Amino acid sequence: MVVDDSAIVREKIAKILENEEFEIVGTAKNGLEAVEQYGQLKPTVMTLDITMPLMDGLETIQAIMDIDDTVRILVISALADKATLINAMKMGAYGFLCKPFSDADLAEAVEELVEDLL
Amino acid sequence: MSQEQNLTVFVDGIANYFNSTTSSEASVGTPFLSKDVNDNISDFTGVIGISGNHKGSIFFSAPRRMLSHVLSSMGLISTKDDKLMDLVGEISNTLAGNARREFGENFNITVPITLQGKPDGLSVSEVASIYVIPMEWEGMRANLIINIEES
Repeated sequence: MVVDDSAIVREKIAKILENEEFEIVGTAKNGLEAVEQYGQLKPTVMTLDITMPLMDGLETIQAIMDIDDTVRILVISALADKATLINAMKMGAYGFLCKPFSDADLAEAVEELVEDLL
Repeated sequence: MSQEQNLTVFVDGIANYFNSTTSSEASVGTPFLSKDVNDNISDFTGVIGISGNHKGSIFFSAPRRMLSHVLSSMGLISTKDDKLMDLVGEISNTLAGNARREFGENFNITVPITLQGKPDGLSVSEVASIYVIPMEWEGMRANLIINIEES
């Protein structure tokens, strides 16, 4: 599942991951939408932006962890400071990828996230 | 931190954005002071509001042709205005967000506001200087405009 307020970023992430033979079960343009759709989609992995309207990424991690703490969340954000990274990981994120990223960076990050599941 | 050091963060950020997301490098020009932000606005502009340990705004303004080519270079072909607005917002968000590496977690950024064309009388902080960082990518020019001051 891909969560980002930018349509082109959602499209780019989905395209890269589909090329790596991952199935995209859904997308959401903010945290609120992601939480609403989560129960129906039940993704194994969620890529999640931080700076989003209505519900930001950190609030979303908390809300998702309350529903299902087994999902593997990869935060993909431009916020490049250590505190944001540490906060996200403490809340339950599995990984952190800083924007901007290349196709190879994203593929590698997601593959690492699911390595033990394959 | 001096204003020159502040600008270095953004100069490096522009180069890194284009090198990471497209197949060709961007060249970043020498920053200069401008009296009026409106002189440096192009077809599409992303604006990020800054609060916390700094206050002001960051703008990334680019021509339609450049944004279409960037999308195409990312494998996402579109000339639709909403996609170009989305891209210019995302670039401005990324450049401002990356600056937190230097300015820390109290450098708060808003979600982007995007503008098309040259709005009448775009106003900015009159206290902070307006620095323009020109850049060129595949023969097309854009500007990153920094109008921030320490709080």
